Amino acid sequence: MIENSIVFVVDDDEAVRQSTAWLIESIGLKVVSFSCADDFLKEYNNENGCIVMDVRMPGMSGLEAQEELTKREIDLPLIFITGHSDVPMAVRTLKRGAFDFIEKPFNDQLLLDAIQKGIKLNSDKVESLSKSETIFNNISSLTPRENQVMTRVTEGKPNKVIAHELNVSIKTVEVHRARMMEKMAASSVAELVKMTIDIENS
Amino acid sequence: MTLVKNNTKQYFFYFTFSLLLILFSATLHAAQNEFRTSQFKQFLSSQEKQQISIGILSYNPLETLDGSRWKLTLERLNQHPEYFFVAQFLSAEELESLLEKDELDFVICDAFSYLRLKKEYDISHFLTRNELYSSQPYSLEGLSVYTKNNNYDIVHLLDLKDKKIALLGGNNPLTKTFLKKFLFKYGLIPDFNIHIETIHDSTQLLSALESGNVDAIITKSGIINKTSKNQPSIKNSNPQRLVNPRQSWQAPFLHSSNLIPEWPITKTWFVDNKLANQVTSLLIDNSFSITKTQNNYNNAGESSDNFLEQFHWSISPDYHILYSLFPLIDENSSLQKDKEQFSSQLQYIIIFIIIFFLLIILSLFLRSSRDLNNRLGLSKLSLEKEIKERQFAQEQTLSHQEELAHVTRLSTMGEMASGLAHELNQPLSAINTYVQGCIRRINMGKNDSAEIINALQLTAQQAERAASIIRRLRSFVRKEQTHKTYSEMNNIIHEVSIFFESQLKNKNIQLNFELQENMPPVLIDIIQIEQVLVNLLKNAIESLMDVNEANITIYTKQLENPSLEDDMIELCVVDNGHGIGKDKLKRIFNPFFTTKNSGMGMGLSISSSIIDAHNGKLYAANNTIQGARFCFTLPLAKETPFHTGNNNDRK
Repeated sequence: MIENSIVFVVDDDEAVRQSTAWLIESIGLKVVSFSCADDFLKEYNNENGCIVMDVRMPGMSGLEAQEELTKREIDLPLIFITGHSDVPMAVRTLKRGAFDFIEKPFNDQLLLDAIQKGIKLNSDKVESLSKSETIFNNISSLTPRENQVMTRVTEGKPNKVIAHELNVSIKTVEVHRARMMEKMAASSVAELVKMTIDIENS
Repeated sequence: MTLVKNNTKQYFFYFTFSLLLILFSATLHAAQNEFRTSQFKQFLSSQEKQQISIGILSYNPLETLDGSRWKLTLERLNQHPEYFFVAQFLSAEELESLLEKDELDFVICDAFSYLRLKKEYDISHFLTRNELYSSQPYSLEGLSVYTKNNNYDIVHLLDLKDKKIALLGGNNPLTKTFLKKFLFKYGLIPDFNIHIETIHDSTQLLSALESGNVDAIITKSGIINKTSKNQPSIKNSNPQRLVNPRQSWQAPFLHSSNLIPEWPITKTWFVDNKLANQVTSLLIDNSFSITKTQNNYNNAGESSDNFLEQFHWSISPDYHILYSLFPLIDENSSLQKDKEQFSSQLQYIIIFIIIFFLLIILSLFLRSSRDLNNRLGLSKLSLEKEIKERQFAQEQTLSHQEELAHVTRLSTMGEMASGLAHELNQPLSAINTYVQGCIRRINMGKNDSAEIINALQLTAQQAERAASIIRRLRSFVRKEQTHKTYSEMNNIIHEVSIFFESQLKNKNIQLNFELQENMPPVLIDIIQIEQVLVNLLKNAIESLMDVNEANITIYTKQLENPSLEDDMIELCVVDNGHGIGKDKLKRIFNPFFTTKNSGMGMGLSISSSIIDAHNGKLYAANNTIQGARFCFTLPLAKETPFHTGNNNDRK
């Protein structure tokens, strides 16, 4: 996942843009740079990674770009770099979900750490997203009877109680339970419970 | 100083002129007098028997000489071998008018009238009439106040207050006032609150009292109720009553007042003493050969049987009593005299008045001119002082202006600091990043030297970029002796616009240039003109806050001046911002006028004075549609420039 991540650098100043890109490339990350936010929004195609963006830019400013990203549900970690920051601006960007806020000229380690953290966050998010997607698919593959059995199993009810509630024999419950466990790819009841909790959280 | 001399000359001219006038008028007056006297003498000598006229004061208009007690006097006078005496009875007014014309030689009148006329017409008495009563001559007479017998309001003289009194006399108001004073002084009236009515006709005097028109009358004692002290009147037997009756051995009748002298005969001023002496001898000679004459003087219907109407003339002038009254006349007559002599001496007076006014005018003129001169001198001094102060102030202003321009440049830079900081921050960031990237790569053992060298080259470029920003900044704020060089205006515009590049980019403002190519260079102080341009651009950028599609355009063009003056170039900074409020348009060039929260308000003021110092003009206007324009003109140099500025020196 991390290997496929791309760092998007958006800065109007060519020198700053190029030098930043050059620095990020030195740790082996793939960099795509844009001179303005508009260009980035046009070009972006659901790649994973993170964004390094200047706050002040001609045309769409960094803050406007942040709103636009939220609007378009582009969930990339956003690292702002700025030459003349102030506290209100930093608070505003972070409240709106910016990942980090770094002053120019920046310490290389600070920026690179932030970028790596951002990429990690992004890839984790993507990973967890794909996991819950699998669970969701498994659940949707269950028959109604199997779904009823799973609900009662995760509630910690023994087979005998489930059979009584569903008004079937214990043998039938056991068959449904085995088929359900197989479909959910759960090796134990504990794993099944964890899966349902993940689903509820996501 | 010439002004003073001229005035002195004028002064002497006027002075001489007025002196001449005075001399002339004096001579004229003397000549007049001489003429009168000579005329008279001529008159005297021309006739064999000259006529001498005598004026006799009379309050009886019907009085004639034939039946008069004066007849005897006249007969005596006409015994004179050379002169023929003619007497005429005259009222008070007639007497005065004839005296005025110098037509009378002798005057016979009462003591009171004499006193007055003496003052005014310079008549002098030489004989006094003595009334004979019981063969006794009386040179004094009394005045009597009569009231109606049944009028018990008036018992004493003090009761005359606020009463109406009639007496014989002239109608002249001044005479009346004098009369009042005279009567007061003479103990006849208690004070001035008495209404005096003068009556010309002695016959009407009693009837005035009878009819009740007046409360009392004043008359010569003995005329009414010829009650001698020897024959006291029987009370209530007469319709009139004497108020405050007094008697004296010096006067024959009961009277109310102090005694005054009897009538005098007087000569006028031009009659010589010789004639007066002759008259005296004629009258006194036969003074005691009295002819009894029946007198019908009394027309009041009184019995006159035992009343001796006779008198003679004597030299017993007891007028000292009267002379004490002269101050009264003086008080009174000065006005009257002026008035009466006015007509005869009109010319004389007019000349004096003219001279007087001329002198006044002259003195006023002199004084005012002297004042004017003084003031002129003073104001000249103060003017010189002011000029010096002004020159000093101007020098100060010039040096201060340079100082101020410098300070304002610094302040402008201060206001632009955040923009400049950002601009400077970019290359620094780039340098920092490149260098750290290089270190990182070297540490990681990626010895791709070509890549690292490339990065270091880029780093050097960024360092140069930063340095150029600093240089520009320093050259802008540096304090430098003003020196003008021939410079290309368009170059300066490009130079300045670099300052604003990052600001314009950040604020998303489009900067356009519409510059006329191949413009001749202008002789300017580059730093100062750059300052103006920076101010104008800064203002334009600030006015473009929150404006969509904001843009600024800089125009230059050469103005072909039709007149003989220098050609000009014009530079305009036009924006599509908020414009200038109408009320502010007039004040934006004032020092410390600002529409911004921050800022000194000196930018445009300094810019204006800089352009003024370049013989140009800075002006502002609102665009017809949106925004404002600031333009300045600079004159093109006439001569060909030797060099085109030191732009390169500054880079």
